[in-house]
Amino acid sequence: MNIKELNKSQLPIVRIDDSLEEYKDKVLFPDKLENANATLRIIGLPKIKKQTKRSHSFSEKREASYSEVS
Amino acid sequence: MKFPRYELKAEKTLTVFEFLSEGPKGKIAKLVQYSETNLQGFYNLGFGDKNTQTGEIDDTVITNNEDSQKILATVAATIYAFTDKYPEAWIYATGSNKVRTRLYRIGITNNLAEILKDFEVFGLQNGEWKIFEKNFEYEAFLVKRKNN
Repeated sequence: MNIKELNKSQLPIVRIDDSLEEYKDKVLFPDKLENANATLRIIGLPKIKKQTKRSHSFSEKREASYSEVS
Repeated sequence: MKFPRYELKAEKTLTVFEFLSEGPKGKIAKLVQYSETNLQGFYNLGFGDKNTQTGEIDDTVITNNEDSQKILATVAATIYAFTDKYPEAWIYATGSNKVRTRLYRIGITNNLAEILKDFEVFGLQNGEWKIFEKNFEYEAFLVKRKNN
């Protein structure tokens, strides 16, 4: 990426800081995470619009893979 | 359009970000964390103030450092960074209360055209995920990077 592209890009420059490693394996917002889990369990996923026969089978496959994981 | 934002630092996996809010209340460290939910590939976006003395995180405090737009832009930048590394990830976000959730909704609404270039955005309304539209209240948000 050149400077012009970098300035236009929404992708930020992120400095890696090893001191933040201590937070990596901790859940810092347990209530929020619990809320997210409950919502996804009860509500499920967005129904992705099936526009073509090809995308229909893709979204079915993706939904199937999500339900297998859950 | 790019909005002013704070400098970001993160650990190597880009699941925890930190930046420093600056304003009338001084310098306040903020943390953003992407935590995978029980659904593989779905991550909760958590965000709050870091107590630099105790290391504890608080996502309910009202800091009021008069930089809410800059903070929102910075949090949005972490979504770009995280989904650049994990392009198939879904991001779930909601505020710690209704006021905060509304603030996030306003932020999305005000930048919707720009956001939709890169993300699919859904809002939770009456127990259903709907494609995000302006002028509707939502309880939570789900975003996914478009594979452009």
